[in-house]
Amino acid sequence: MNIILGKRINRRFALRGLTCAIGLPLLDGMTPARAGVSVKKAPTRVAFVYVPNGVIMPKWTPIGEGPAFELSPTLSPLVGFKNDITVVGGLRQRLGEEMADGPGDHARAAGNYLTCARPLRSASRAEVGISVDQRLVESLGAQTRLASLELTCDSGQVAGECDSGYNCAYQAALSWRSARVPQPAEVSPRMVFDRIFSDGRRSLAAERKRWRARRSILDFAMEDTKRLWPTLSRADQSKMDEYLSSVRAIEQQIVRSENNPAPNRPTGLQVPSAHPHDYSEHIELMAELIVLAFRVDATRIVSWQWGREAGGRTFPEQGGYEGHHGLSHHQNDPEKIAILARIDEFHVQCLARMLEKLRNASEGDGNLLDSSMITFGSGLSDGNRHRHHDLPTLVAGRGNGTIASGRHLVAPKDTPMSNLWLSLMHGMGATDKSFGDSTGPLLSLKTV
Amino acid sequence: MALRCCTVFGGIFVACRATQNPVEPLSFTSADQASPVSAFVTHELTFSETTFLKQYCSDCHAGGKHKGSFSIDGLLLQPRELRHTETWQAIAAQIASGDMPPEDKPLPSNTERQALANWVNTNIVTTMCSVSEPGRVVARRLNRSEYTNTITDLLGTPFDLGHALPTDNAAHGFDNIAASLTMSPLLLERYVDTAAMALDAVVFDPERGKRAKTSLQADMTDMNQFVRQAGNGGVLLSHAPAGQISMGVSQPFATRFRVSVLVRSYHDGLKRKRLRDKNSGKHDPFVIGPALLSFNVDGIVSQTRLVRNKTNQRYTVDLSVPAGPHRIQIGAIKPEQVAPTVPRTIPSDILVSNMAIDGPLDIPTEPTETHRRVFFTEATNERDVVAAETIVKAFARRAFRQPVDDATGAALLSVVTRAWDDGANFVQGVQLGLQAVLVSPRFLFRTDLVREESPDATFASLTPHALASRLSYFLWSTMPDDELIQQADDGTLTENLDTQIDRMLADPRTRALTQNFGGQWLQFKNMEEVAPTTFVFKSFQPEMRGDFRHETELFFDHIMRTDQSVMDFLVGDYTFVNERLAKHYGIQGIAGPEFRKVSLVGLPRRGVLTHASTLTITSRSTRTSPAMRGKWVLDTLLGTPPPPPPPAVPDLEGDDHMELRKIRTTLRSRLEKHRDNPVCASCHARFDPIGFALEPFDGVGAYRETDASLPIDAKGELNTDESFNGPFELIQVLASTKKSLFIRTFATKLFTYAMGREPRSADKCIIDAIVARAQEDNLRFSSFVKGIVKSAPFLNSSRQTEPQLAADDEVSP
Repeated sequence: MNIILGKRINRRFALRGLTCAIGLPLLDGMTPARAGVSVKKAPTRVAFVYVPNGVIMPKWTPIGEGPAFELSPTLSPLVGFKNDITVVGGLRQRLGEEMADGPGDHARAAGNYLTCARPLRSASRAEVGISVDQRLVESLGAQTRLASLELTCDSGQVAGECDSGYNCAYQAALSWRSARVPQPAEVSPRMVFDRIFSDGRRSLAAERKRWRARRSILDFAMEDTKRLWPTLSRADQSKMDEYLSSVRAIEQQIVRSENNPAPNRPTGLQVPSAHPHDYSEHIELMAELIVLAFRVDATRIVSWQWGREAGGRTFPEQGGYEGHHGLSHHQNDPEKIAILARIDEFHVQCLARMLEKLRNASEGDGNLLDSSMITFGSGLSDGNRHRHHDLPTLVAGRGNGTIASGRHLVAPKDTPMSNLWLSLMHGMGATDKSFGDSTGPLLSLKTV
Repeated sequence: MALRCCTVFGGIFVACRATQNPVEPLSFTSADQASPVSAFVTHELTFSETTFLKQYCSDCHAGGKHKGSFSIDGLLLQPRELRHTETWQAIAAQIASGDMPPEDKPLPSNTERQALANWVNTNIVTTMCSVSEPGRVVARRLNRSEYTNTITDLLGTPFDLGHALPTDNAAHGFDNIAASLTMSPLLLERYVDTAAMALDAVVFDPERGKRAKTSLQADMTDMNQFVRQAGNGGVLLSHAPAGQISMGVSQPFATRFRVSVLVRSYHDGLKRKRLRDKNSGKHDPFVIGPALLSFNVDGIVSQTRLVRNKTNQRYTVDLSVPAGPHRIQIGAIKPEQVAPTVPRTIPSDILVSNMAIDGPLDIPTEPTETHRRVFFTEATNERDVVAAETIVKAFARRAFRQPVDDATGAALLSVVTRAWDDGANFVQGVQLGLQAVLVSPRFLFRTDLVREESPDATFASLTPHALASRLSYFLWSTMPDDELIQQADDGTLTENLDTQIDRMLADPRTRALTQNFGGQWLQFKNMEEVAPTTFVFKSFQPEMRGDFRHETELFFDHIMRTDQSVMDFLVGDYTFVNERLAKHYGIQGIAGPEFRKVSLVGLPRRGVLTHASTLTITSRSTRTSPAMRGKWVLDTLLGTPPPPPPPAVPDLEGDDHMELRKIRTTLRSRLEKHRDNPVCASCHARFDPIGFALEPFDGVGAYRETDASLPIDAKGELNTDESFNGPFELIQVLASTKKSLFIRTFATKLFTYAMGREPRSADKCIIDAIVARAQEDNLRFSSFVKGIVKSAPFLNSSRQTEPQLAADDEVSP
C-alpha cells in the first residue's frame, strides 16, 4: 500500500497551509483594554515544556561553559537563538530517585518534575505536592482571565497498570493544584482556542446574562454540597472539598471574565483542529496557541507535556519504529542511540519553531521572547539508566531582564531543580522563600 | 537480594528467583485444590512463628535494623495483631518462594518453610476472613463513559460526550477506581458546559426553535486523520482509508439538513507515480477510476455522488438526521464499497472546500417526545412555579438516583425563578434548573449511603437506592433503569437480586461491561494506541485495528450473554471474524464486512490469547515481544505479574549487539543471548518462555512458520516446570495446571472493577467464596457476577473509611 508515502507528500501541504492559516496575522490591536490600568511594562510569562524518557546526554550537553559555549548537536536547531537561551546543567531531582521505593522511576520523574516533592507510592491514589505553576497562581493571585493553562500532546490512555504500582496520575499530569489534586491537561487545540477566544456569537449583554446564570448554578452546587455534607464520611468530605474548591475556582474565573471578557476570535485566524494529524502538527498548533494566549494576555502561566513519561510514541520519520520508551532503554546499542538523538533533535526543532513565533510577536519595543521564560527539559537525563541528576534543562527567553541569557550555566553539582523553579518564580514577581526541596534561588541565572 | 525487589502487586506476592524445590506458595483454600494445611498439620504443634523470625530474619530486619526498609520489630511484639496481616502474608510468600532469606544466610529447610506458610494460613488468614468489615468506597465521581451513558439514559437520547471531557486516571488497571477519580476546575467547567450542550439538544424552546434555522459554514479543520489540509482553506480527502471532514449538528427532533461542498478538483496527478510497487519495480495493474463523494451521518454512508472530472463544482444533498447530536461527514470512498461490481480501481483523492450545512429544513412546531419526557407537565403561565418545581424535582430524583427532599426542590426552584427574573421564558428557566441538577455533586458523584437502622454498628447495609446504583454502574456503567428504581422504592431489590442480574445481563447495556471491564482487563482498548509498522507487517492495514478489537469484544460479549464458562476465555474453540480478519487468520469462505461466529477446530488458535488484538498489543511496532506476551499472560490471565525491571537496567555488553547483528538469527536466539546476563535472567526466565510458545504468531497476530527465514522454535516452559511446544500446548497447560489461578484472577479483576477499589486482604476470603460458588455453577459468567453482587463488600459499607484512604487533614464545607 502507498499510504505512508501518500501521507508524507500530503503533509507538506498541511504544514504550509497551517503556517498561512494561523501563524499570521499577528494580532495588532488585540492587546486587551484594561480599563484604568496603564500598562508600563510587558508582563513576564512562563511556560514549562516537558519531554519524556530523558535525552541522549552526550549529544545534548554543550561544550564549554558560560557565554562562550558551543551548541551541542542536539541543540543545533537553536543556532539562531543562541543568545536567547540558557542551558542549565547540574540540576538534580533527588526526590524522584529510587530510595526505598524500588522501581517506578518514570512515574516519579514525571510526578516530581514541577512539584519537586516525593510522589507517594500508591496505585489507588496520588499524592505529591503543589506544582510550581500552581504555586505561582497562589502566590501572585490570578492575574489573567485564565489563571494558568495546562496542555498536553499525549492523549494516550492505555489500559493496564501504570509504572510499577504508581497511580497513573503521576504520568498523566504535570500540574498539581494541591498535593492530591492533579490537573488534567487539555489535549485538543480547538478547546484551547475556545478558552482563549470568545466565538463572538453573543453580545456582551448576552454573555453577561450567561455568566449570571452560571453563577446561579454554582451557588446551587455549593448549597447542595452543604446539604450532602452530614451524610458523608471524612474521606468523602475530602473528595467534596476538591469539588468545592473547583466550584470556587470557576466562580473566580467568572469574576475575571466579567472584568476582562475574552477577546473575540480575530478574523482571518483559522480555528485549529480538534484532532491534529500527527505529533509535529500537534506541537505546532499548541505552540501557536501559547503565543496567542500570551499575546492577548489570556494567561501568563503554562505547563505543557509533549509526551507522557514512559510513553511509547513511535517516530517513524526519525527511524523510531519502536516505541520511544522501549528505545530509551537502548543498552548502549549505537543504532538506538542514534535514533534517540534524532528524536531529541526533532524535539529541539519544534522548540525552535515556537521560539521563532515568540520572537516574531513584537510587543512594545521588544518581543514576546524577551518577556518570556520557556523551560524545556525532562525529568530523567539518561533514560536508559533512569538517572535523576544532571537533568537536561534549558530556559529560553529573558524573563523581562531577569535572566542573563546566552550561556551554558553549569550549576554546582546536584543543585536541586527546585532552585531553578524558585528563581523563575522570583522572575515572575513572587517572593516565596522556598519551593519544594529548594535550598535557595539559582542566583547565577540572573548575573553572569 | 533485598526485599524491595519482590514487591506486592495487587495483593499477590511475586518473586522471580527460581528455587530448587519450590514450596507450595501461600494459597487460599479453593474448591478444586486440597489445602496444604492438612498434610503438615503435625508441624503446627511444635512450630513457633517468633522463633522462626528470630532465627532467620532478625539478622537484617530486627533490633532496629531494617534492610530493604523492612523491619519485623513491631511484628515480634504482637505477632497476631490484625494490622500485621499483610506483612505476614508478604513474609510467608517470600519464604515460600525461596527469595528469603538470602543464600549467604542460614536457610530454613523446606519443611520449616512450609510450616511457616501453614501457620500464617491457620492463624492469620483465617482470623482475617472472620472479620466481616465490608470496607468503604470513597465518593466516586462518574468517569467519562459512566457520565456519557448516564446523560444518555437520563435524557433519553444518545450522546457521545466523552471527547469533551479529559481522560480519567486509571488505577489497578481500571479507570473507575474511586480514590483515583479526582475533580478539578477544568473538569467541572466541562461538566457545566456539557450539561448545557446536552440539554440544548433535548429541550424544545419555542424561541430557540425560530432561531434554529441557520446556515453554517463547516469548519474545515474538523476531520479525521486521513485528511490533509491543502492550502487556501481546502482539504484533500483520501479514499483509503476513508478521509472525512465532519460537522456536528444537534436537534431535539428528526429533521433534514442541506449539505453541500465545493469540489475543487479530484485528480492531482500524483497518484499514478505512487502506484509503482517498491519491491518489484512494476506498476500496479490498477486503473485510475472515478472519485466517489460520500455524505454520511455518524459514519454511515447516506448518499453518494460521482465526481466527474470538473473543477469548482458544488455538490448538494439533503440528509435526514435523527434527533440528538450527530455528525455529518463528507468523505471520499472507493467505488466498490458501494458497488462491488465495479472493477478494482484507484480513485483519486478529492480536493474540497467550503462545506456548508443549512437547516434544519423541517422544524417541528410541537415539542418532541424527548422534550415531553422531561417537561411532562404543562405550564399554565410563564412563571408557573408548581409546574417548574414538579419537573425539576422529578428530574433531580432520577439524576440523583435517590429520593430528593423538599429543601433541594426549593433550592432548584430558586435557580429557575432567578432565571425568570433575568428575562428567561418558562422553558429556559426550567432548563437552567435542570443544568444545576447535572452539576450537583449528587449527580456527579456516587456516595454509598447506608441504612440508618443501627447507627452504632461499624458497618451497615446500603440503602436500596445506593445498591441499585452500584449494581447498574457495575453491569451497565450507567444509572439504574426504571425497574431497578421501582425495586428500590418498594424495598424488594435485595430479595430479587438473582432475577435482576439475569435481566440486566441480557440487556444490550452490558455492552458497557464488555467495553470497560473487558477492554481494560484484556487490554484490547489499547488497539487504538498501537502502531504496527506496515512495511514490516505487510498484511496489516489500518482498518484492521477496529477488526481486531471487535473480534475480542464479540467474543467477550458472547461468553457473557450466553453465560458460558469463563474458561472459554482461555480455551474457546470459536471466534468472530469478518472477511478481512478471516483472510488474516487463513479461514476460508468468509465474505463481507459483517462479523460472524466461526469454529477454530483445525486451526492453531484458541481463546483470547490467540486473538490478533492480544497478539498485537503485546508486540512492538516492528517485531513480536515474547517478554511482553509472557508478561501479559502472567498479569492478565494468572494475576501474578512479574516485578518491574530494576530501577537501573544494567548494560549488556555492547559487543553482543554488534556480534548478533552480523549473523542472521531468530528473535528467540537473540533474546536467549540476553538472558545470559544473570540479573535479567531471573525474571525473564519466568515470562520469555511463555512468549516463545506464541512466536508462531507475528506482531499483528498472523500465523507464520519462520522468523528471519529460519524455522520457529516454539518450545517453552513455566517456572513451575510445565513445558509446552507452541500456542496450543501452552493454552492446554494454562487451562489445566493454572486453571484455579486463572479463575481467581478473573474473579479478582471483576471484583476490583465492581467495587471501584483495590481488594483488601480481607477481600481475598470473599473472592475465595465467590470462586467456590462459581465452581458449583460450572464457572458460568453470571455466577461470578452474582457472587460479587451478593458479597458482603458489595451489599454493605463501613461507616468509616479505612485509615489508608482517610483524609489526614480536617475539611469543612
